[in-house]
Amino acid sequence: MKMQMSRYLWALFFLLISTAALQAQNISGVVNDENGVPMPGVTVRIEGTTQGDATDLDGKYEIKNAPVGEQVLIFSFIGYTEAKETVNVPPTGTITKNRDMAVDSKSLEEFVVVGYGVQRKRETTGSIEKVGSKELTDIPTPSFEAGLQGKAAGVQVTQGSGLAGSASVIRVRGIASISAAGDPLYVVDGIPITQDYFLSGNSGGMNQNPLATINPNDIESVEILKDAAATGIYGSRGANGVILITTKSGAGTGWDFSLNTRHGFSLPTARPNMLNSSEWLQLYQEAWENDGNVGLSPLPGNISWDQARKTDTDWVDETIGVGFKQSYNFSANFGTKKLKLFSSLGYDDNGSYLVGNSYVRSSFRTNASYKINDKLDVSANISVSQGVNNRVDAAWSGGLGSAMSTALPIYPIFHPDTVFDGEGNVLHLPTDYWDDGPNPVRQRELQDWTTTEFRSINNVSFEYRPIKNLFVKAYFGYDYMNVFDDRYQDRLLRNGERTSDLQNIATRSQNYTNNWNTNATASYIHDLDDRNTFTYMVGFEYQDSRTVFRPSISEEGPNVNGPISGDALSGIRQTSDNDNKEFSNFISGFGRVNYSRDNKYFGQFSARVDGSSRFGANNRYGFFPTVSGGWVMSEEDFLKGNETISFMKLRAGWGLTGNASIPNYQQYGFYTRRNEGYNGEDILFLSVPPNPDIQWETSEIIDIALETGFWDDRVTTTLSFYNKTTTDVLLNLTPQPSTGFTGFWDNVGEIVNRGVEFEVTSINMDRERFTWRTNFNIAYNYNEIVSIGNYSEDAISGGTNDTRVVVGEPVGTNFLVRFGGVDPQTGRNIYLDINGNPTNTWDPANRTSVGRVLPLAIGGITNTFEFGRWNVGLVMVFSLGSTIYDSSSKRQNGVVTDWNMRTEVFDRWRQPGDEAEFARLSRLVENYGLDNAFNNNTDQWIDDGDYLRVRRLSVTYNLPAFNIAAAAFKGASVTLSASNFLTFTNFDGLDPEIARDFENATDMNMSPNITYLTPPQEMSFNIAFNLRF
Amino acid sequence: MTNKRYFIPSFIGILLLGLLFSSCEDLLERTPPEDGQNVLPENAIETPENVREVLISAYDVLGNTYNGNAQNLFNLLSDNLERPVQQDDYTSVWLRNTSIFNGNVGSVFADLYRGPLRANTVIENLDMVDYTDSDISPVQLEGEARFIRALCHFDIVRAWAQPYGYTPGNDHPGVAIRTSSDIVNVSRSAVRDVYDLVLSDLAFAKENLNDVNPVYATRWAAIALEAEVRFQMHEYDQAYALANQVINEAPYTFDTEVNRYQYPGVSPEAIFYIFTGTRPSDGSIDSRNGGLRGNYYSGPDQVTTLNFTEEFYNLQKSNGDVGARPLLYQTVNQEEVSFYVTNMFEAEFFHIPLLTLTQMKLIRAESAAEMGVDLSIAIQDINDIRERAYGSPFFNLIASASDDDVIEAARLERRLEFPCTGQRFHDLKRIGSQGEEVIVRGVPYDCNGMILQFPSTEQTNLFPLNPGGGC
Repeated sequence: MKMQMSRYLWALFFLLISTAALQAQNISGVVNDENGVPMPGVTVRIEGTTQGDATDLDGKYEIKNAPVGEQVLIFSFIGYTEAKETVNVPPTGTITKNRDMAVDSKSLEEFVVVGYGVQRKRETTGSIEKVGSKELTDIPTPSFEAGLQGKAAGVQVTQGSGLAGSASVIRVRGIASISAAGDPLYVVDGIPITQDYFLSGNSGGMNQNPLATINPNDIESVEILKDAAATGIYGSRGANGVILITTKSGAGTGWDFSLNTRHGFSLPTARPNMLNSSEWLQLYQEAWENDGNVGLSPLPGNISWDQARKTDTDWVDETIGVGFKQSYNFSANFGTKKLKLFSSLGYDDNGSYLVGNSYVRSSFRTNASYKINDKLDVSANISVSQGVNNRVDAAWSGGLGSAMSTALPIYPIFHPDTVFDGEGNVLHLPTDYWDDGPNPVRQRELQDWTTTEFRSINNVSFEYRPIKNLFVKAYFGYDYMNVFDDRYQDRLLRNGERTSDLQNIATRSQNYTNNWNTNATASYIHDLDDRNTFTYMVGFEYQDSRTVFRPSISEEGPNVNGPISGDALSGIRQTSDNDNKEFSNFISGFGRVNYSRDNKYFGQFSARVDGSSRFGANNRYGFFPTVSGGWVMSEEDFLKGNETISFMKLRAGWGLTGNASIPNYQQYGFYTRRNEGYNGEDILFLSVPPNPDIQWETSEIIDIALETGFWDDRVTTTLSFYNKTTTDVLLNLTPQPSTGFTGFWDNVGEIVNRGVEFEVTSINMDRERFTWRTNFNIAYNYNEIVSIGNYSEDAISGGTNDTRVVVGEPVGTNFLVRFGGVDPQTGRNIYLDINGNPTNTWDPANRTSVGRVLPLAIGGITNTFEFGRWNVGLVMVFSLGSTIYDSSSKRQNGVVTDWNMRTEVFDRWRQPGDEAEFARLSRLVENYGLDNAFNNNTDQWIDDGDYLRVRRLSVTYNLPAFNIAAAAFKGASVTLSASNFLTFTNFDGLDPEIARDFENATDMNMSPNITYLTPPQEMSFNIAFNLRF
Repeated sequence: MTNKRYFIPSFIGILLLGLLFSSCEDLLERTPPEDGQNVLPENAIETPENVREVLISAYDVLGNTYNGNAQNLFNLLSDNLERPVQQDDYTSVWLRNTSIFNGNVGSVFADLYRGPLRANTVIENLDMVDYTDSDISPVQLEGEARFIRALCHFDIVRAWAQPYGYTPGNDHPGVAIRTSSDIVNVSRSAVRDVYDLVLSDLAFAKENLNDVNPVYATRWAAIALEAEVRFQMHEYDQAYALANQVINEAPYTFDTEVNRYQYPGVSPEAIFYIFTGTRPSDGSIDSRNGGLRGNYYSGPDQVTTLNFTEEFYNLQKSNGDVGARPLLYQTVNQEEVSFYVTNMFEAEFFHIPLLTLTQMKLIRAESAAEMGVDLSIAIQDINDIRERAYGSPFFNLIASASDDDVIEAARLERRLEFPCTGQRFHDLKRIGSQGEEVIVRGVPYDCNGMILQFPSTEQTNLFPLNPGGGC
């Protein structure tokens, strides 16, 4: 040690002498990041010397007394590719050398956030994907998580429908849950946040999205933890992956401001092709006559044929428009040696293409950290945001859903004439909305519906370093969510006629959640010797979550003209007596040991014990150990110096993780008491049987991966294999109805997920003024239900959808009768029985597994081109090997009812010999061999779900620092972007990327790729400005 | 050394903190807030009154099931009704093609088993409380619980399985027997075993129930129900004896009204009925007739789903509009189509008799004729009913009527007296299963679609469904 030291000192001394002896001059310049933003803290040094400088807040550096002649400058910064620039230092004067840094695509030196800490990516032994902030804000999305699409291998992001604020469905490495939520655990700055999509159920054809209030502009990075080595530290909640969201924090010194604005508009990616009035009348009458009737058929909605012929309402046009979007985000960054501050103010008005629908988010955040002394840091993050969703009904609930179903083109929007009753009273004026049948315009215009979510996610933490290498941290987090659903209905909406006496009404329902989290950790870095280092971490955590559902209140009367006001609220006394409360908690202890030897061998052991109020008395605590290791082979002699392979690491891990998304109180069971039941007597009955054995579901995960870098890491690849066996799968079972119970939760099933993920990042071209980078990822997942106990396929059904759990098939299998075409002689549907023989009768006993709601492979391709100040980004995503079940077409193209139909139905059977796609039209279910028009569940409605979609195309022009009059700007950029404007698919329906509204977690797990009057996604076109000063 | 001095205490501190909390097992006890509506099982049953509240909850289920919902399904499979108007689930019952997804069938099935679940909860909790200072008698509670369990199993096995007598040993597939509240998958019991359960429950009920128990089940109700069960089993001697016992000994009087759906009083001949009561808090009426009024004609403003066939209407009117009973029927025009309806359900509120003296008389009459005994009593029973129906003895059976005449008359009167109870459906099954040829709307009484399909989740490896495809 001493020897080495003295050698360096001598070298330094020699250099100082020699430098002084030479003719010396200066090198200066500005270093920008990949967006042209000045980068502070970049180290710039002259190769072969110790001369150098670090850039200041404006990205400027200056190296004085540089040796004359050709010198090589090395620019380095963690997370960015080390860059070299050759300069020819003249004998006199200053030479300027600017440099744009590029994000290190291989990211091996990058730090990643892991559970309860950070690690160098090189040292991680688990599977972690990192997505940076910029990628989340490129295009407007209903909610930040949609921006993860295509960015991380094995992370399936299915964006929600075109409704404003709608949630995406995110699945990490397939789906390992059936009835318990299959979503990853979301942890924002250390607090597992409230993320239940079903707190407000399914209202208006939409699930409330608890993530939508998070401002994507505040996010620094999102880490997705995929395997047990990474998620094991989250114990009973890590099995479906963990998404760690880290918000921005202050950096550098001095002030720094940024203003982002974005304006854009949106349109649907597809429009439904519904019949017009004359087409519908023709087919409706044809069915009537086919059924042996004569004369004109009676029409629904008390409409005469004369009226019907005169009316042709295009309800799709009435419900779809152009959505406008605007977003403003202002942030300030301040730093001193002790204080670091980041603060932001955001406003985002995200209008969807559905008339009257928008999500408006206002948000404020301040993150601050302060170094009290050398041993103690304190930091606090405070955020408040409000999301106002201006709601419209959709899907089954109305709006565009009605336009695609029960709102017939023969229905007018307004009453054509004044209508009187027998006594001369006016029932309807011509300005009144027509109300003898579904009228989505009436439903929208006579109602004012907003869902307002107020959210605040906060934490304060203290880090104490009593001695070198020991870090003791105390953390307190508080997550508050308060959701109000306010509806105002005009009396004309509630009354059929003007003479009816229902009054205007305003109703409000509310639920709020207080979610507290506290933990304490101690970490110690133990340098055993020069070669061996251990890092120990132990921790304890307590989380308490309390959700209160308040009963709906209402205010009614002629003076009520809008949503419930504050004044009215004080008038409507609301006690907490009837509140429905749900409390749950977790108590956990955890520990982790990391070992590294020679920066070449890495090992990790972690374990967590979780106790939860959700677990039954017989299974109160779960134990979740993991063990994993990494081997950097490129450090071994046999690879060191290899010109092709610059980096190679093999890692493997094993572990147990869990999923504890069990509804509260399942272990207790309960009796229900109702006052004044039969004969006015109180009644009491057992409504939920107790289950003291209920527990988490356990996933045993094995992960093996090879990370490789080629040609000085110009190309890097990661190839991973995983196998995840989930046992004690939580099922919300429908027992035999003869038990008298309708459902109960039990740990019954077993599911296997196994798959391969491949990711490659390459710098295809790297010229002075042109760079082209590509990231490609693809993930294949095999999913199989191994067991569901001795229950039938129907014991767990995917909500209102026609997916089932079938042993040997993936979670959520279309379980349908096979369709054998239309009989050319009779025009009747042919179904296939279980043996494949044709029959005219639809019998559920002939249902079998068909289709595939889960894709075999998903992935994304991101290309980035930089030339000069221009930057072009192209993100494409794809999904392969899935099918889509279009549950609406069974009505739109099935039995002729009071639904509108789609133009495809013209290809129906009319006479013997016709080879038609659809059966002879009839209004009698038995003519289709059905027992109910809604039971027309066959694979006739299954379609190819493959797609390749241009998720984003953006063109950015970056301006370096400039001055306008006295104002100095550090930089600016303007971006034009378009999303979802091009999709390649064979799907005949509206949009192949489908996440419909769901009834519950089971439905969400089992019924992706099922569409039922689901609004298609939006495409958007935007212009964004960024100004830094 | 320095490092260790800090490092070990910090770790121990964290661990102790963890242990401190984790040792508080109570902290993890997050029981549901008992808000007066939800009660934890350990706190639910504390007094005899609580057990009785569970029993009343079983009656509550009956009130929501025999409000017409159950009876309608049976009637739809008979020959009384026309194809339902705009009601897919009912239509498929009428078309004799119910699938595992038929919502109406599934919900009535579940409701009919909710009765036994609650009855079983009563029985399982009988020993949990002390009756020392209470008027409530545990055997009475058990008797009523077993009466309800018998009633529900009897109706389930009649509609979801081929009838008693379909096979010689009655070992053909029946339905699930539920005698506990455990969530366990059970196999399909043989029809014989289901009837055995029904009879043993009724034996207990007859033994232990009081003669008087306003609104609720009495000993007479148990006897009357057993008469029905024995009659369905073709055990006419026992059916006769039991019906005879009720007619002669029980405190019920033959109603002078043809329409026994009455309110606020209960028909004097109702032995067991679904009660429409008032809520003590505000005096509002807790109506339990939705299944009937919501589907049959209940006034000119409502489109009726269930209407009679022309044949049935003509049968009611075969003697012209003479007397009160034919006058219960009329034709109405809705959207230019004529429908045959009854105005029995026009009143907003009424109780629904399930076991009546009229039924007992018809059981006694037909059983007597089947056995060839006491024909004069049988003829008098028929004539009592006819005189009430037509207001005169003009259409009476003659005193010399034969056994067959009496049987024919009893069957006809049963059909005419009980047009909406499903009685016709049960009769067709009973008659068919004793060997007579019975064709119902063109198909044999025992074809596949003449029994209802189970809901999808009733099916397990142990529990096969009824054959699908209808008939």
